[in-house]
Amino acid sequence: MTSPDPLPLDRQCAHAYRLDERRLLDISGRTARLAAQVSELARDLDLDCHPWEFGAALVELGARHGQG
Amino acid sequence: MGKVNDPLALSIRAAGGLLRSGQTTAAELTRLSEARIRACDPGLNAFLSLRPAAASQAAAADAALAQGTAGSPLAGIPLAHKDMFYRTGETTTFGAHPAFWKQAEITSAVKAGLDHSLAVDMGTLNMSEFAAGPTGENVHHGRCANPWATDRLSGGSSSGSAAAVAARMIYGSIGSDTGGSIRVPAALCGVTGLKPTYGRVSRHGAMARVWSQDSIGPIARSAEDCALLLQAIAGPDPRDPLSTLTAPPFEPRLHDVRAIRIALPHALLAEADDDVATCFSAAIQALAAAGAHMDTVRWTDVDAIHALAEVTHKAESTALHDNQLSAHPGKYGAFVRQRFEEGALIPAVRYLQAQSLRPAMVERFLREVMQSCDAVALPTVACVAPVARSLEDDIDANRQLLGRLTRYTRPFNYLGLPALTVPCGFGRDGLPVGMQLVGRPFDEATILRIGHFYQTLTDWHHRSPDLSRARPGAGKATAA
Repeated sequence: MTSPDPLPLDRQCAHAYRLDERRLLDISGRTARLAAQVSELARDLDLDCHPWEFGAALVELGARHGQG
Repeated sequence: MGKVNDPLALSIRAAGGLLRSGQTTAAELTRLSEARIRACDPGLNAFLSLRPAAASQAAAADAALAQGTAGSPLAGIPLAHKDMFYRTGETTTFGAHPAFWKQAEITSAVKAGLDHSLAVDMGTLNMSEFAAGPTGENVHHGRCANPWATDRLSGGSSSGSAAAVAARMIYGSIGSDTGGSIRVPAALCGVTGLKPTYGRVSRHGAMARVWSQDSIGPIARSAEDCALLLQAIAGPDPRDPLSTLTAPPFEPRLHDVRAIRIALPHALLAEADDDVATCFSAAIQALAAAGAHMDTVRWTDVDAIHALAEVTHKAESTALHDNQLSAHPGKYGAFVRQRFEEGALIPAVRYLQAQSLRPAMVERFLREVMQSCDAVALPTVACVAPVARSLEDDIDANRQLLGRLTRYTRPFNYLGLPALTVPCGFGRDGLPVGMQLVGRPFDEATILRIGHFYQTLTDWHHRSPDLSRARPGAGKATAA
């Protein structure tokens, strides 16, 4: 037997954290605004970006830009 | 040297000198520290617990000092730390509800490093719940009061660390900083605090807040003391792979006084309150008069970086607390719970983009803002310590306050850069103001050098609050 379709993501969130409709709308709105900002900033993201290599990038940038 | 009136008012370096010359003992400093804590803490609420084992640590330090085997300048120095670093067999509260307290089975790398230095660990310090919040409010343990005015916020999340150091209960403390949690309370309490480069200090055995932006670092009374503490806790640790990258080792160069070049992001300074701007300008003038070169720069990315940091904070907080949030929502303070819920709908794509953009944003900052400078200077916090009032039920007011307190600090967690705050005067109502110095990756040495140089020109870091007016329970009384 297949399980019923899960709830949409925002409904799952509301259920898990016991959010009322107003609070869910508030979170959705804030998230949408932030996500749009990040999307805009990432427009020119290089294909060679590796999110887990930030630590190594810091070491390399420190070496390349010198220290005082 | 004659008899010292108040050994607890000395720097770590000076107190270490007394210990090495036999003019005092670690046992005596520990006794004095405990007496100060018992006398003053009822009015501040900085301490969560005192460790009976401090006395035996002091005895071990005295033995090593007598034998001449105590190599570290921290030997015998009373310290205490934010309650989020494990110590085997002892309870860590995370500043949270008792349901979340943990009996540790390991000792954190930072506490092990300080033990190795023979420092004395006096106890655990108050903090914002799960290190989430820059005010120092805590609904579970009570608010930590600001020693300069107990009706004011201490700042957070390393609230107890800053307050206890300011009140001369201890010589230094280890805190953590994810958006300003070392720098904000240090600035509001008039002490010195360093957020090291991301990866400089091992996070093994420490509570995670936002793992991609957490840094562990010292709070003390001077840049020199922060350098001594950083030396004891920095370095590679295979249990935190980030710390094993081939970064240059930390080597303090406090007495290297080559010409200093400082960048001032002018437009951003206009956001500070007038009294803060006045103190900051005077600090810059003092450095310039002493030979530092100042360059006005444009930094246009600050709002973008706040957005990128916000996405990261939200997503990682929710990921960390998801299970407990749904199982025990009532065991979180209302504001912390609301903040932790807000990452649930962040798309993974946006989170990963925010992470991916970090190297490019750092490179742009180094190229456009720091190109010809050793450090960037700006106020640490845009205002002096606000009056404490419970905002637990007013999420919008709380959010606004959070944004105001971390406006100048949070970007440097996203960028992973080292940042130091030093006291630079007193603003309205006689409350401390901090100047923030930001350095290049792994270049803590330069900002500590500038901070130390500034502290040879000024005496703000020697000023201490009058605790005679601190009423018992002042902090707890205003907790929600």
